Amino acid sequence: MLAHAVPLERRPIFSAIIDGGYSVASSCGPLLGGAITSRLSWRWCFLVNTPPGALCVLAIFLAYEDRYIPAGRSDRLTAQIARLDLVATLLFAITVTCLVLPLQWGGSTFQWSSAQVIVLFVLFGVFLAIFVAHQLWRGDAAMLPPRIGQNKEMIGAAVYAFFVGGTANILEYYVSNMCTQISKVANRPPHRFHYGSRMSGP
Amino acid sequence: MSALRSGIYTIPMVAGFVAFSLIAGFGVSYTGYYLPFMYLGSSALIAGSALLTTINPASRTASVLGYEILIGLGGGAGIQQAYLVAQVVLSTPDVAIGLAIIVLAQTLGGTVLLSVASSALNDGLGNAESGHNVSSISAAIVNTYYLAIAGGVCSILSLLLIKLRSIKPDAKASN
Repeated sequence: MLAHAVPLERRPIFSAIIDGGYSVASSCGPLLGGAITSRLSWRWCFLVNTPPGALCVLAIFLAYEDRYIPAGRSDRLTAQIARLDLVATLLFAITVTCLVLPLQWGGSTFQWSSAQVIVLFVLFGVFLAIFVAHQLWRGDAAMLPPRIGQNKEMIGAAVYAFFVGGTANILEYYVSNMCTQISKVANRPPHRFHYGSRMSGP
Repeated sequence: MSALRSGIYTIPMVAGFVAFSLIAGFGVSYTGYYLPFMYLGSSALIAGSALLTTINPASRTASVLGYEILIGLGGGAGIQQAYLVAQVVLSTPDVAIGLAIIVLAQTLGGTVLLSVASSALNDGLGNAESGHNVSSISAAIVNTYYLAIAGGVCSILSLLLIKLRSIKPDAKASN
């Protein structure tokens, strides 16, 4: 939407506003959710989402004008569904599952050397190979067309997003985890993690 | 209580993220160049994670807050620009696919690296034979910061593939 509404040189500001709003919301969300759950019931955590969602639909309806239409493509529904490449989506979902599940299980739920973990890693390799082969076979109709997948700068940007997104996620999760742990230490000097001690109840 | 607490501890990080993504947004708009901000983001992430490895239960709150702001700078200045790359290097009909790939890569990075981090954490806990007291847990959490340093280094390496380009229309014409 942003790409259609704002010229390229002014887009960074607007995407920063959107992303900033998103991160504020995602850090306030758990706070609000916790408050709602303890005061009312968890059902309200879901109900509370509906009015803002409705407002978004209304706002898009009133304010947004969809100007860009892809040229030279069939608009028949069957053709559009065929373009979705459901097989690739399915293959990709399986591939990611086979990667993430053993990474999560290894060393905790199961041993690294256990059959479950090894089989899943092998399946990951197999499905990844099938996915890549399927994409190559589809060519320009693939979920990831070669003209995009072979663009070096796009590869760089995707790898960058992978690592920066992942690193930021690790830090966000474990820094708060560590602060929570450290605030449990009873005999620490008062000026250390004092804002934690106020929060930690009995 | 735990969700509330962790929300409060990450306020400096989120505030830093929001502040620096706005600053970087204006900076990119003003200068036209996004690549320097990507380098800045990666460097700040590496520096922040490296400093976090020095944290222990006796550390001052202020230093943790400072490191968190540094990490906020890293995430805020960097991640936005990946979306800009897709918009600059791809032709208009392909931009939507390109943006979807960046979203996918970012989310996938979170999923995969968090799983790896939780394995690294569990390995660290497994080695601590003396039971799970606070110092052994925080020592195990430091493992995940080493992983974060590695992630930051990989993100800098990926920038070697990206060329210095301007998003300003006049500069684009002269290229």
